[in-house]
Amino acid sequence: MSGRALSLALVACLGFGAGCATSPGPFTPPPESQSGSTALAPTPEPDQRASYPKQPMLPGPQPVQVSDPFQGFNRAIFYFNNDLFDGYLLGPVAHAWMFISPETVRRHIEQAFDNLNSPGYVIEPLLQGDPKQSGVALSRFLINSTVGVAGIFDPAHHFLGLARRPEDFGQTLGVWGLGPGPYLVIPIILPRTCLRDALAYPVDWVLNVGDGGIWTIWAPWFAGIAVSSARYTNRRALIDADLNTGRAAAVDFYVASRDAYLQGRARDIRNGAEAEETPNDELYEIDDGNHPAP
Amino acid sequence: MSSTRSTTATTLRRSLRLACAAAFLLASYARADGEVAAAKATMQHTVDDTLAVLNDKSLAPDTRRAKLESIAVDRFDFPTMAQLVLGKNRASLTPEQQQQFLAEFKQHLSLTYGRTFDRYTGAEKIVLDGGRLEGNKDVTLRMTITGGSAPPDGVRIDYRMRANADKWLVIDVIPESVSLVQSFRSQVQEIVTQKGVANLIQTLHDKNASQAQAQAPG
Repeated sequence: MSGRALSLALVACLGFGAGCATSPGPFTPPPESQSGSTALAPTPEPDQRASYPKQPMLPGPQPVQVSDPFQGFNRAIFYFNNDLFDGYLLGPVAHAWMFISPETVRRHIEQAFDNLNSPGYVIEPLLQGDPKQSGVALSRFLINSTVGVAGIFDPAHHFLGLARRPEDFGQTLGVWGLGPGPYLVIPIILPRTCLRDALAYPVDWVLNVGDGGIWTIWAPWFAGIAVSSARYTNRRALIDADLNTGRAAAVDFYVASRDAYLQGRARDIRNGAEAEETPNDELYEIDDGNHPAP
Repeated sequence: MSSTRSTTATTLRRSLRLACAAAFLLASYARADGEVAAAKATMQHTVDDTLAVLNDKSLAPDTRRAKLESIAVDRFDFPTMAQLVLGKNRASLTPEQQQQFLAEFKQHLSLTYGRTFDRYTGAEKIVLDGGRLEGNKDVTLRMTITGGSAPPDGVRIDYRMRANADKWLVIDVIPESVSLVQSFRSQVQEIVTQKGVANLIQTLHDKNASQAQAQAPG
């Protein structure tokens, strides 16, 4: 996810903001700019914002409280996951898979696996008090499993506008008010997570059948490994370009991944709902260096 | 009689207050609408210019990248972005270090965007389909990219824009609610805290050098 998020930022800027030409000078805002510290002095006009008709916007980035007390351990595992496991095993296998499979095939395979997560996508919204979304997920499952040939295709979205919305128990715990807790990096299985999502994993293992593995209880052990490896490889292939871009863009890929993960999870828990107040303006205030004494 | 006059006066006062409130709301609405529309017009030009470059198949990759960069120079407020990314750490940089950081930061973004650019085919449909006025008078616009090399669900990206004089410039890019400024700020904070300011600039410099090498023709 982090690779995708970062690359999307870069993709977005690519077309509309890649540049390194001249500027007025370092940290010198243009004349009459709002960028200066004076212009940025908080002058909120809540009435004005409230009067503007709400449009279907994404929620703004929210301040993310990062708790990373195990950073030394996390960085070591991150190095193993990113540099060793992905660098020497998963990445090369995924590249081989990319060489022999068109992207369309990879996307349809992923859709079929994702369709198996439907029990979680149906039940979790109910636990979150959102029966409407639960109905949407159930409809998607019924339509895509039949008309969509076991989920390989997505007619529910294409013809009925029923958009996919992934759900898991970590999100439900978040909706119930449980914070993310310390950031954790776990070898291979959960490359990036937080304590809350790690605790939720057993429930997801049961409900999100495509991501989890409850079915492996009844299957031969090698079948479980084979199917999980296939999906892992296919997913890795799908995010290859994003991952490369994310790695190239980050000056500290561990921090970039952590931040994107936590921001992304906060977004997932909000389920696209806009906050009444958008508490993100602080991020866009230029620090003038005047800090009150502690 | 006196009671009737009093009731009428009260009614008139209430009506006047309601009229004033309605006028204020209408004025606010018009102002917010105008600012969002102005920012959107700027971004629409950028989208049009960019699509024209992407669809020009006669351009060599290097030329195409250079053209996109030249479009972007007018649309992004790199000095403001650099200040936002540095946050409270800016005070610990000397003016020379600030200059170095800005130069490296701009080059870093440019090189990475150039790399990302090669993934676009020009077949994408790009639509500006939302906008809101923020509390500090910034404007956030939503862009949706579908088709072409975009994933099946499409890509939704917010652009946070700020007025510089009469010009709206981008100060943050927020794909799927993940802020580029916030991400870079966290990285900068980590490096400055762990290794110091000099290391931050050196890290950016090294990153740029390796990226430039990787992207060099041949």
